[in-house]
Amino acid sequence: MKVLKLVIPMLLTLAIGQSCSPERKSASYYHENKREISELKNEYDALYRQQAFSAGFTDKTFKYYVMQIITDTLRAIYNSEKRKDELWQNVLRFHYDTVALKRMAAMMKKIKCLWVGKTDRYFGEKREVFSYISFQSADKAFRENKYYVLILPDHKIDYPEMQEQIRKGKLVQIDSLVYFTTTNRYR
Amino acid sequence: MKCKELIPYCSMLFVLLTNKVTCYSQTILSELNPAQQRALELLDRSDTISVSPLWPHIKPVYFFSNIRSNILYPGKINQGHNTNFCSYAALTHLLIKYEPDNYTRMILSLYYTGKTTLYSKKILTPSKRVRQAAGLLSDNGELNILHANQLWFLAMADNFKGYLNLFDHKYSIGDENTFWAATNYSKFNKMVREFGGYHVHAIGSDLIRPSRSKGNLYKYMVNMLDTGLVMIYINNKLMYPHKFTLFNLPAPTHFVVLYELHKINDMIEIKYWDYGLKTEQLITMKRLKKTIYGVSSITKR
Repeated sequence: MKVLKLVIPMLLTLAIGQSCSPERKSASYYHENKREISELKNEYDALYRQQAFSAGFTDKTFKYYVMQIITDTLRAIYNSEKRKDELWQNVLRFHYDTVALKRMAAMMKKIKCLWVGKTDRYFGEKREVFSYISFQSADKAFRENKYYVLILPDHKIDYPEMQEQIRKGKLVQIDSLVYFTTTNRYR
Repeated sequence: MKCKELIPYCSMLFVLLTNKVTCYSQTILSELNPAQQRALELLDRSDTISVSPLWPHIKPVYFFSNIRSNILYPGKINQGHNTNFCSYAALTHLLIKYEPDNYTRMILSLYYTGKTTLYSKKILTPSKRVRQAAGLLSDNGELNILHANQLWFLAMADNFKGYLNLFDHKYSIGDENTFWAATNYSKFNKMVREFGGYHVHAIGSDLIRPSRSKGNLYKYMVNMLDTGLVMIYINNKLMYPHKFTLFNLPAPTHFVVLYELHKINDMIEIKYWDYGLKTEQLITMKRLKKTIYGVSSITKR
C-alpha cells in the first residue's frame, strides 16, 4: 500500500509531464501536418529563389500578415494591416508567383504556422542555410515568450556541433530532415 | 602552329588581359572616396601573412579579407547571431562609413601591437583573455569567420564599461551574449565621443523615454537627421508588432543607425540600419514614441 501511495503520484506526474512536453507536442504537430509542412517548404523555397523573403502572421486569428522582402542592401517590411497596397505592388515588382504565394498563405493558415523563413549557421567555415517554421506560442503570463520551431534542412546535417546540440537536448530530431527547438522569438 | 609562334599572341593576350584588369581596378578605385583609398593603401602596406603572437587564434586570411570588405562595404558590418554587440556594430558602421582610414589604422595597430589610441587619446588595450578568445567565437553566425570583427567588438566591449557590466567584468568564453558585452545608453554615447571625437547631443535614458510629445519627437528626429547623423536606442521587439505575447518588457534592447524618417498620411516610414542591412518599415506615431528610448545625434567634431 505504501508503495502504491508512492508510485501513483509518480506515474501521474510523469503522465502530466509527458502530455505537456514540448517535444511530444512538436512531434505530434509535425506528424499531423507532415504533408502540408512538406508542401509549404517546397512552395516557400520556390518563391524564395525568385527573391529572398520571410513571411508570417501577426495575430491569433491569422487575418493580418507580414512579408519581409530582402535584397542585397535592404530589408523591406510590409504589413497587410498597414501597408497592404504597397505589399502587393512589391509582390508584383519582384515577380513573385501570386497564385503560389496565396497558396502558401492558405497552407500556413491551415496548419496555424506563425512564420516561415530561412536562417543560417556556420559549422567551422561551412555555412548551412535552413528553412524553418514557427508555430503556437507557449506563452504564459509572467514567463518568457516561447515558440516552437521546426528546422527543415535540405540535406542531412552531420556536423559534430549539431550532434552536440542534439545530445544536450537543445535540438530534437523528429524525422530524417526535421528538427525541433524552442526559442523566445517566432521570427 | 608551333609553341614559339604562339608566344607573341600569348604576350599580346597577357597585355590585353592585364590592362583590362588594371583599368577595372582603377575604375573601382576611382569610385572610392579618398578616405577609403587611404584605408586600402594602409592595408596594402601591411604584412598580411604572419600570425600576430598577440592574437594567436586570429587567422590572417580571415582578418585581412574582413577589414577589406568592411572598408568597401561598411553597410554590411554584422554583429552576428547571439551577441550583445549591436552598440559596437552601430558605432563601427558609422566609423567605417565616414572614417575608414582611422578605423584601419586602429584595427591594424591593435593587431600588431595589442593597443591603439582613439581620437580622444584614450588607449585601447584588450586584456589577454580577450586576445586569446578572438578568432574562436562559435555559434555566432557569420561572425565565426569574420575575425577582424571578432577582435574589434571584443576589444571595444573589454575596454568600455558601464553599470550593466558591473557584475561581469572579466571576459569568459560565451560572454559575448551576456551582461559582459551589454551597453547602457551613457556608455554608448561615451564610446561615440571617444572613438571619433564627435560632439554628441543625446536625449533619453535606459529607463525613461525622451520627454517629448509624439509629434515633437518626430520633428526633433527629422531636424537632427537634417543636421547630422542619428543613432537611436530602441526596444526592438516593439518594432515588430504582433499579438502573440501578453507582455513585453518596457525597456530598450537595441542600438540602430537612423537613416530616414517620413510622414505618410498618419503613419511614419522609418529607415534604419542594423544587422548589415537597412530596414524600411511603416509604424504609427504612437509606436514610434513607445519604441524609442534614446536619440543620439552627431552634429560636429
